[in-house]
Amino acid sequence: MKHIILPPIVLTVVCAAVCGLLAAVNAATSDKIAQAEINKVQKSLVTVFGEGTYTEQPQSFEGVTAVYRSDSGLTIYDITADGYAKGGIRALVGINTDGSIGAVGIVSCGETAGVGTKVTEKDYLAQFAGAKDASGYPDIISKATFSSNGLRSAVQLAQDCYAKEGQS
Amino acid sequence: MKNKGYLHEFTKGLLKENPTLVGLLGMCPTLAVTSQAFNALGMGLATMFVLVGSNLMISLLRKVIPATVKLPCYIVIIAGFVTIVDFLLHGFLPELHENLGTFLSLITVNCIILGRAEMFASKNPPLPSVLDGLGMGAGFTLSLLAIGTIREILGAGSWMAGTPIAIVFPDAFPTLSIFSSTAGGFLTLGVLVALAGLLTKKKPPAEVGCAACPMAGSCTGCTAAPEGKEETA
Repeated sequence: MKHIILPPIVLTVVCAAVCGLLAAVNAATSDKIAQAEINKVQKSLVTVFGEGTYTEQPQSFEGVTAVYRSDSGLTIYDITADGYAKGGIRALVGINTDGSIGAVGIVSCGETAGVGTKVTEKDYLAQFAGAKDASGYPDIISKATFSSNGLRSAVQLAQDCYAKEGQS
Repeated sequence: MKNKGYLHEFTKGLLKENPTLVGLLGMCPTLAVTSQAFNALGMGLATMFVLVGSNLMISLLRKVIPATVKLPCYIVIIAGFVTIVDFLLHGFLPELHENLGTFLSLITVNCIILGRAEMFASKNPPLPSVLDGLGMGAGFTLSLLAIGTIREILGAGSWMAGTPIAIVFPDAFPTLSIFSSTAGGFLTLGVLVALAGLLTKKKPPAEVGCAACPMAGSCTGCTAAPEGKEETA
């Protein structure tokens, strides 16, 4: 009987002990983790759109993680799009009050290093500025079609959301 | 093993039984995160922490855990330590956490850790087990750091980018983007494995003829067996 009853008991005790330990570590680090996530987005916002205050907006759209408004009048959409990797591009797209693109920045990029990551280069992102619609977007980067299309779809989505917001 | 003392438990992992370059274990993180030296170092240290922690726990519990459930118990303990590292890195080093991505959680199934648990910690007392974990972890970290250094310098023209001690080479420095991709990882790994073989003076596996083959007696496809025996005799 011992060899039937003992193993499950030991396994249960080990699992319970590890769970307890993790609960303790989680309680100790959860604030820190939440703060780190906020810092990351704020840091990206400042890097892309310059110093200023950015306040999170209550709107929510499908495919948009968060909406921010800057004190300079930009509406900024935090969008994660699929590139070559699923969810490979997390971009911040700032829309001017007239609906054109203010600036585009990348929070994180999980695309192939040296190939898909070309879409994160400053010179490429700068070409989005001022575009009213898809016809004004920069060309697709050769050998990085998926990543380029992913970024375009993120920018497109931001403009669509801004258009919708204006109507309602 | 007892004769060689505690120091041996630590030093064997550095070169002679180096888990990456001699044992060829844990290839997935080795190739995946070593495009930058800092990521490689982070992955190495995270793995070392898990290895030491799990080796200690498993060694302490080695007489309590019944053989039938030892693997689930090991995995739970290892996964627990991995999650702790995950929380800590996410809170305190969010950028490293993001760079390592899924490979951080995949430390759970790193065969170095399960291998040391099964082969060493489950049979030895806590102190040698911790030393074994430290040594193997250090060996893993050094291997990753070496691969990461070579790949980052050749592939990106920088070293330890994103840290206070970062060195960025001038634009004129020629870079080979293949070293940033997985293929370059394999190339670098191959060269380092050869180098480790040279340093440990490991002989290539001897040509095994039919005579030395343990299956010779029952192998119907092998007709050379009797002659082979004469040759070696």
